[in-house]
Amino acid sequence: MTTEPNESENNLADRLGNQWLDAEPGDYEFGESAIGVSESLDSKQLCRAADVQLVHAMLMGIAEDSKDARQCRINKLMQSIRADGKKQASEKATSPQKPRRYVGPAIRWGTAAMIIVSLTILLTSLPSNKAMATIDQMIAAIENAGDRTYSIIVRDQKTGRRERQSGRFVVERRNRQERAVLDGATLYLRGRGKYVLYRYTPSGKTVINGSDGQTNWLIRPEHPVLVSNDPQAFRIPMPEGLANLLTLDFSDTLQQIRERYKIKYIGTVPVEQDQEASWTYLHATQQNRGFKGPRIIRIWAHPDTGLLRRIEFADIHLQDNPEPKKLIFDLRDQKQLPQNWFTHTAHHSEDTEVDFLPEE
Amino acid sequence: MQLRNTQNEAQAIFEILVRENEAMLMTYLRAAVRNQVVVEDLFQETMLVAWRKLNEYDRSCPFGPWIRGIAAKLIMAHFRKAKSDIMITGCDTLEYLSQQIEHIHERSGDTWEQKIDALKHCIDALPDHYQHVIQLRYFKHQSASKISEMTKVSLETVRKRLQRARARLLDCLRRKKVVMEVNT
Repeated sequence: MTTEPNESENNLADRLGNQWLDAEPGDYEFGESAIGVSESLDSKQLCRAADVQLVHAMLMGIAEDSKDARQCRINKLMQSIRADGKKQASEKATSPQKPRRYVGPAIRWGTAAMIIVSLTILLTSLPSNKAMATIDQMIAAIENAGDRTYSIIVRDQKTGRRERQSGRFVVERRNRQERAVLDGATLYLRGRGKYVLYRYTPSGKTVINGSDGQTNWLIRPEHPVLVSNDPQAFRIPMPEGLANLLTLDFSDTLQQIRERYKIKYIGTVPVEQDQEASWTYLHATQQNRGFKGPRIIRIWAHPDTGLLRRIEFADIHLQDNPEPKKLIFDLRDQKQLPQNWFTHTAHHSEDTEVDFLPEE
Repeated sequence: MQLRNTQNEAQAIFEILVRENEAMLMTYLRAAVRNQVVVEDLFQETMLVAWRKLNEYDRSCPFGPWIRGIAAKLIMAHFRKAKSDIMITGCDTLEYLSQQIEHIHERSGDTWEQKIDALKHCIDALPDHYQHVIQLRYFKHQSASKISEMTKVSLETVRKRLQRARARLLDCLRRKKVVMEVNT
């Protein structure tokens, strides 16, 4: 038995992968049946089938690739490369040529040297430097950034289902003291250190945390507004594993990712539904296993300005829920917010009671 | 003469890149293409195209995804030409496989073999009857029907055992974080 939650789906996907792998020459019926199964699978099941094929490929690798076989493969390739070079040279020699401009030895040597330099740089791999440069640019961008609004999404790692959309969520919370949750929350940011976070309880009540960079405040339904100059006051309960990493203006978060994660620059790609624009995509994997933080973090940033477009923390655990979740901050817009938006007075009526807590 | 030496040097450096990426690329090709002769041909073709297009390569990007991108185009071209060869999972899956392989590539270990070393432990942990079919299928290069003959077990049972053995290996590799969980 496998440990997957939906075994019948997996069986179908496994059957497809295995039909393909174990079909024998001339076994057309088998192949056609595999295609039939393939057409009935969704993308998740196709990925499962692809995983089975990957396992097969790894088995083939360890079973078949002896040192000699690999050497033979590489020798054959290098022979082709050398032959290719000679062929191209002879084609040049035999084809009618335009009168050649004299190219001095310095230029020819220079060109050849450039190829070597390119390959050498390739070997010493610049991508991580590029990744670091992107992170540095993103941290610098936060200092001078204008107003940004992020949507917060919590998805089940396996099913992709939103936390708030799950019936289980509502049932579980119904008989308890209502707690505001991160899924569906909205985060407003200005520069570094100024934030407002709107969270909602399952019954739709609003809890607002905020800071103008000096004063922290908390607004809860049917409670006085709490205000404090203590920078640690009213900390937002974060999922286990993110408490040490996530700060709401992201600057310390990015700094910690820079120090504690192996970051790869993947390229420029669109973000999910937004296919029109391309964003720099970084993939961060935790280097230090002793550090309590998500194993993988994915980051999308503006290729020119370094503006954080989206950040995804994988394999996080929420309170009272053992299933791994993915926490996503997704840039919704950059509209300018009212000047006083980061003070508590912008978010409650004038007659609301306000308690100023003394600093401890 | 000096220029020729420089070209030889460039080829020698490219050979190092080939050695570093050979096992990774072969895994990618084997996961996508069933026919091993075609896999070997596609390996040669991919690396040759990479050599010819080296000046188009963006050095700020990792080499692995670039070379798998070349391979993916050649794989698709192969399936368009060879109607008798079947591609069951579509071109989106090539991108998915490429991500899985990049995930493995990011694991600790100097070589590809070290990065997938966990697979050997997973095989050792299989129940005997599953281990047996995996040994015969991969390490003794026997087909499912030949295994059926050798073990006097029905062909359907052999296929089922291979399927379950691979599923267990996949679970094991996921637990060991070699293969990423699907979370689309």
